[in-house]
Amino acid sequence: MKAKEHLLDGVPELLILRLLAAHEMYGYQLVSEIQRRSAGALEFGEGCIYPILHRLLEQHMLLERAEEVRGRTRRYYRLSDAGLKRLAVLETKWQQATATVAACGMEVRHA
Amino acid sequence: MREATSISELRSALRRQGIWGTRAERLLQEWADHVHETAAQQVADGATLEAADQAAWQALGVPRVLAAGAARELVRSSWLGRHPWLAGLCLPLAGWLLVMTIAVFAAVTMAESASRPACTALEITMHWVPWLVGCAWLAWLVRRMPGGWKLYWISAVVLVLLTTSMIWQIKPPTHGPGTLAQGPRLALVTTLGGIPGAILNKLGTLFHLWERIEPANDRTVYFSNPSTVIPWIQIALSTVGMIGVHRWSRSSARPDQWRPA
Repeated sequence: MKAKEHLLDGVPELLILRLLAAHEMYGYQLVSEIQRRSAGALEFGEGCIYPILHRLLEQHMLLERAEEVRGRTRRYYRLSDAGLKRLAVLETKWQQATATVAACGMEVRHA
Repeated sequence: MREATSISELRSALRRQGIWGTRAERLLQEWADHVHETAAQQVADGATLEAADQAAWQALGVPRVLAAGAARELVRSSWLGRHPWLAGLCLPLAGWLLVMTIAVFAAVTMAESASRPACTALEITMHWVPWLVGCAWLAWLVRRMPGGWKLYWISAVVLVLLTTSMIWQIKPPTHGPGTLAQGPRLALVTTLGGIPGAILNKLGTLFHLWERIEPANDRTVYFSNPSTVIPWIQIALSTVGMIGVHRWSRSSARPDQWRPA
């Protein structure tokens, strides 16, 4: 259980940064995109996206703009320069991790 | 009706995690907007309004878990949150030691030649500067960390009870080398006997505004302990409490959030 938690530790942040690197989105759009692209491979409470967005905003990795839509304020998020750098770091780490796991898998199969 | 109940549940859950004010309102507003969008989409797909609304709130997540996740992210968002022991314990302790060293050095130096008004100025400075710096530090801490003002007041009351009658006294070596005396003068028995009085007289830290400084003689510099120590100990205690909240929120939030289907 514990290992599972650590395994997905940086995943939400990586997914959010990667999606926002393409174009600006608001929370609901982000959740829908993650669900669509992951084809239901991940389960999460949809609301947990927002605290992560707020953290990234406070860490200056995201920029935001507000827009009035049907009487509600909708906040659109997009990546800042710092966010792009962070995305590059996370992607490198992720690739290293998956490469390591893949390499270990090959050794086990060949043994 | 359902929205009002759910928002109220979420608001209570956030409050229990020490998140309120604009930070909480913003989260609530975005969560409500999200539910609104989800329900609208489901209605467009053919669901009834009531079923869509219920499913949308369910999909949003459990209030307790969402609030705990928000607390965890709040902690992770700042340098302070990522290094709580350093910012809340090590630096305040080092800061307090530095302040007291300067105070002792200044008191000893000034006692040899300075006039009474200069000594009084030093006393006033040492009563106010560490207190103001400590309070500013503490305000920054409680603003950035979940746990908030509740823990601040708990620690403040405990400290008022424990340290209310402590006096930090520095006697310069006026009677020749080796006669320097400094340190806390404990009056614990008095404190225990006078707890109700202490609570009434010294509730909160603002009582320093009205506290009078009456030196025993012209060349003795007194520092009232609460002025110099309390904010720093409050920072330390609040930090310990907030780290507890953080750990608890981490353990209670994570398992229900992101997981493979």
